[in-house]
Amino acid sequence: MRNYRLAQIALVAQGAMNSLNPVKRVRDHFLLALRDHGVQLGEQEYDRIIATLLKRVGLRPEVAHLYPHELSGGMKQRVCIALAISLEPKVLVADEPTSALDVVVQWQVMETLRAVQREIGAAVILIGHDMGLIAQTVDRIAVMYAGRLVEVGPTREILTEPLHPYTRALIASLPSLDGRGELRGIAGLPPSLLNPPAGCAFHPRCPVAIDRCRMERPLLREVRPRRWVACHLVENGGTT
Amino acid sequence: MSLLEARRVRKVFGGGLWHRSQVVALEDFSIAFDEASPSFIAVVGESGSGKTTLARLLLGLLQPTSGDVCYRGTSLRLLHRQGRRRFLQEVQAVFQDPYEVYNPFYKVDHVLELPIRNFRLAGDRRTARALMEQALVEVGLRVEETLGRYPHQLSGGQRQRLMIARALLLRPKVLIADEPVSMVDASLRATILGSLLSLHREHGVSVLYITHDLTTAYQVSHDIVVLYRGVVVEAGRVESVVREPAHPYTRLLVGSIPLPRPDRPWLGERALGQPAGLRPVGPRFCKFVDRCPYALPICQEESPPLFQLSPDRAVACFLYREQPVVTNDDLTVVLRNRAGTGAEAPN
Repeated sequence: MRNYRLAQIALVAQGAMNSLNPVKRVRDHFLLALRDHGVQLGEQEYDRIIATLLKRVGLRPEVAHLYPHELSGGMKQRVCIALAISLEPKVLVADEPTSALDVVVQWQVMETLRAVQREIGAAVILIGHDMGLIAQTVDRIAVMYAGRLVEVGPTREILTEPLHPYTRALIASLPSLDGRGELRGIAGLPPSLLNPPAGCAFHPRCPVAIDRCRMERPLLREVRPRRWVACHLVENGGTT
Repeated sequence: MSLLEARRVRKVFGGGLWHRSQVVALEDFSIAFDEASPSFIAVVGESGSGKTTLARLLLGLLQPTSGDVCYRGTSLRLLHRQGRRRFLQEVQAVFQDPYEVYNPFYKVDHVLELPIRNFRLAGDRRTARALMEQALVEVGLRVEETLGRYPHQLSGGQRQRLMIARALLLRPKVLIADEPVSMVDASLRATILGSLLSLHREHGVSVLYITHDLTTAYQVSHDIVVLYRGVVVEAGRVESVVREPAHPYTRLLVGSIPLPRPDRPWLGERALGQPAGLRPVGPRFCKFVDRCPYALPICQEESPPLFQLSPDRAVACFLYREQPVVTNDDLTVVLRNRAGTGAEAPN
């Protein structure tokens, strides 16, 4: 497991500020990760590798000698990305990597992540609640509700034609720059996961729920090529 | 006389005898809230732009290095017991993190009971209970799902709405909301902002909405102030600022918003273009000069004043140097010049 982590699958965590050790320099974080995975090299070799990794995420090699508190939030997040790709993993899981950053830095970090993904050819799983950010970054979207997938499909199709009522409500609740003063939240509260509703978990908040939704949990099925939906009301072929 | 007013406040952190460097968190900032014409003003800027410093100064939690914050004409420093009490009741705050403000050992009722007791809002238990229930209903919480519970039994959105209910209980005149929705997801964000908006519309409360999210600021506020490294770079009506941003930094901010629309690419810094590569010369300079593609030599050696683009719009950028200069004192006048109610323009 230990060898599998970081080498095969790596994580970029939500709070970059809290995942770096405040009493260690950036360089030490890399040394720990590399040595722990059996990369034994001379000091100069290490420095060269660390410089390359930092360059990949758009940071200067001098950053290696700084402490985390000397870096800005965006820089810390980029250091975390550099750490995550240090062993060229196959899968990179990014859990809300930019939720604590402002839009300009968000763009820089996501741009870094996209460039890195192209360079090392890893698959990136981006977890987040910011639909705008996700829409602009990923190829495929999977929408989750109460611990289950409710809809999976290509980004463009999901955004232009959401099929599941929850996806539709989610997209409608996004603030836009087109119309002002129309904020539509989703009525009701997220369900308790200790005691989830019977049938479809979304039925208490669903505007189009029918009796069947209260009794029977809909399964995720492919209603048309590459579009998966878990809703009783979506027919095969994808009409509601 | 304004209800709450910041007059040319400046806040510097550090710089004592033993400190190496000074950080200017907020530079020469003025804003005013009137009782007669409640406003909904958004303050946006990146992390470290001085947004939270501004909130803390207005609430009297920080002392300005220079300038003054006045409540009904009296400086917060000089308020006497009676005035201070009134200030504490009329100026309320909602903070960023709804997880940190509760004491986990008390039921959530406590945060509502305490202000009722301290400000003697109710004569007996029954009136107190009625007041609490009314406040909860007004922010869209169900009484039976909220009262009698402990903080950990409520969701983040419920806790944040409870904080708004607590503020509402005191019938405030000004509400300072510092990033009230940055910790909650999109659907709850809409609900909480809806509560703020109805507070403003139905109860005539002035709201200062501090955020880094330009989209929500655009959705709810009338006016907007854009801060960059402690300096006001642009201020005015939210429609015109967001739709036609004048300052290069505002353009960068607007261009960096990821929209959930595949047909509109997310350009970020690419929308603005390469920086002109100018560096500051001397102690006074435009704070944005090193990132600005339109930078002029004057930006390196002089900090731009606010130029008035229209009666309700001001921009601190030398690209607009043909326009008349607004002194920072008059920023409030610019914000007051809303269409229809327009007071006389300065200069």
